[in-house]
Amino acid sequence: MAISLSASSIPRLSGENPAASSSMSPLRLRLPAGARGFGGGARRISVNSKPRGFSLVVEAKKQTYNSFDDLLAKSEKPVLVDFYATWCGPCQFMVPILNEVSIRLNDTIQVVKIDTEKYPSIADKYKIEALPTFIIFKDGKPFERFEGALTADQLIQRIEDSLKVKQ
Amino acid sequence: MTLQASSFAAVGLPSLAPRLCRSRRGPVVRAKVEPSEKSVEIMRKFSEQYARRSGTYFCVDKGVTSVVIKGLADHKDTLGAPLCPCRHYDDKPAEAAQGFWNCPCVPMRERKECHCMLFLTPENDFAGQDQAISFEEIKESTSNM
Repeated sequence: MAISLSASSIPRLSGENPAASSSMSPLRLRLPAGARGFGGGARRISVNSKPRGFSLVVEAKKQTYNSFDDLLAKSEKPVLVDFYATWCGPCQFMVPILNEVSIRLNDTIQVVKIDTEKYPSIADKYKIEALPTFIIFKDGKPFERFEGALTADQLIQRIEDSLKVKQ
Repeated sequence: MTLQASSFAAVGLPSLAPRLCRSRRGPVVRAKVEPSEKSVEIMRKFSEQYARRSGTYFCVDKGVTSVVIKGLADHKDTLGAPLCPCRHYDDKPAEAAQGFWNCPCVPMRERKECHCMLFLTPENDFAGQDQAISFEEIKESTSNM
C-alpha cells in the first residue's frame, strides 16, 4: 500500500476547488482508497516506526521517502518542520497560519508537520520540549529553531531572515 | 476560530492501520479519543478560577483556550494529573508524578508564564477580556477536531 504525499491545497480551509488551485500547501499524507482521517477530508495515518520497504509517494513530484530522514535528504528546498500535539492550543492555532505561509512561501520552503505523540522518537531525536517547536532544516540539518505561536507575517519574516542572513 | 484538525503531514512511515471500508455516508471518521466530560468540566472550572486568581485572561481566540482545557482534561484522565499539553515528554507518568509541569505549572506559578496561551497577562498581544468560558463554548470550538 503506497502512501501519497499530496501537495494539493486543503479544500475546507481555502474553500477553493483543489483541482483548480495550483498552490502548494503543507505536505500531508494521503492514504489510498479507504483509510481516512477526520475533519474535512484530511488524512491521518498511524504507523509504526520501522520502515518495512514501504514507500511514500508524493503525488506532485513522484518522490519516494522511506523515513523522515529520507524526506529531509531529498528535499530540494529548506524544510520548515512543525512539531505539534493534538491538544496543544497554540499548535492548533498555527494550523491555518502554516497553511497560509506554505502557500505564500511556496518556492522558498516546504512545510511539514510532525505529531510528537505519533512520532516520539523523532521528537526525542531533536530534543523537542515546548510545543509548538519549529525547526528549519537546510541541507537536511537543523538550521534554526524557535518555539511558540506567531502570526503569519511574523513567521514569514522569521523564515526569510533566517534563510537570507545565514546563507 | 475553526480549528483545523488535520495533521497534514506526518512523515512517511509504513502504515499498519487497517483499511477502513468506504462508508456510503462519506469519509469514515477515525475515532479520536476525547477527554471525559467530567474532566473537561473540572479543568474548565479550574481555568476560570485560576485566571481570576492570577489576574490573567484567556486568549482572544477561545479555540486555543478550549483545546488546552481539553488537553489538560485528557491528561487528567490518562495520567491522573493535568500535565501541560503543550510539551513533549520522555516519560509522561514520571512527569505527572514529579509535578513540575502539572497545571498550574511552576513557570506559571512563579512568573505567570503560560506557553499554552491559556493564562495570559493583560499586556500579552493575544490576551482577550474574558476570564470565563462555558462548556458549550469549549464544545463548539473543538467540534471539528
